Amino acid sequence: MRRLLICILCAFVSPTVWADIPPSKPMMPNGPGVEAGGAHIVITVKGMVCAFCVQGVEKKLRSLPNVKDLAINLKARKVSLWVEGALPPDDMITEKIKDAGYEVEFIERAHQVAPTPQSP
Amino acid sequence: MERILLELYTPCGYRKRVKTLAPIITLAVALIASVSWGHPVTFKDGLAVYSKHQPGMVQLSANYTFHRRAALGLTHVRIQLPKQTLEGTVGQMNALLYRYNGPGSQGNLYAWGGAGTSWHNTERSGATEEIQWTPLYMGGVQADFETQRIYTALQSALLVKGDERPYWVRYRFGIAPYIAEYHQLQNWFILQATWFPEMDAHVKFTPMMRFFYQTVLWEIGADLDGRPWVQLMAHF
Repeated sequence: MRRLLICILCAFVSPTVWADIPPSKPMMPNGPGVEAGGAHIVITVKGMVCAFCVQGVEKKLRSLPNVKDLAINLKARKVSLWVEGALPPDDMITEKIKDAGYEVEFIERAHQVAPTPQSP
Repeated sequence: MERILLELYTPCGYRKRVKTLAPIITLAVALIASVSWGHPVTFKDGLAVYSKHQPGMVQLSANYTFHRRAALGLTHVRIQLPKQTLEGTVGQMNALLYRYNGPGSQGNLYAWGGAGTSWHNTERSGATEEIQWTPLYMGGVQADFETQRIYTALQSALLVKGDERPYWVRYRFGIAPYIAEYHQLQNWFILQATWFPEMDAHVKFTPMMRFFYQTVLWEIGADLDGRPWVQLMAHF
């Protein structure tokens, strides 16, 4: 019983020591790479509940064409993609999420930046 | 019966004990390649490696997910039973039979099975040693459900080597005291109940802590008799 109590005590102490090691990558509405002609896509993923899930989703989505950067908010189950050039269609995104083992709940093309007029 | 506190597989220790090259190569493949109490099937093209250590039992596993619902794996296991030590390596197929993806939750049903060989050294008259190979079969099922706050899993597995058929059933329940992001350390408090009639007459309870950091997971605990439990897992 004493071992069990020590184990429970350690379990409660350790999160306060270790919880916030490095800062999380922020989910910026405009993203680090939104430039002329770029777009910001937000995908809500069903079933993504752990860091291993995030790893699979990230690997698969990074293999999409024209993806410049990516950020994942695990608590909100949202993935932000910053895309330059031609945008990947919804069914391509859905297939990649399925390869990771999960399902798409929503895809929002949240931010579209109009191309800057070229000077003559 | 000799009681072993903790067995750690190292190339040096292994060579000293077995004195042959084949098991060392097998072990190396198992370490490079390896399965999991976590996810026998990960994501397409994903590789999972894990090892479990407890007194009288060591398991090293690897799997490669070639399809979103199937993986090929390799497991090396060593179990010290009351009458003999069962040791061998099996190649296996892991299948994700069903996955429930909910908003904020996930449930899985897995099954796996495979065949391989076990071995032990026998001494002939004189100093010559001979390795005796015996077919070894393995199978199991696992059902789990998790959210970002709770985790529960039920697993049963069976090994078959001739007349020896050790099996075990494990149930786990875990709670996360907080929800971490991918770049933060996640803690879990887990209570595991194991029924392994070949090793213990009663159900063994093991409280443990799980630490999750990005693609690496490790668990440390001890059962109520003080016997340690260590598990390491990594996804690539």
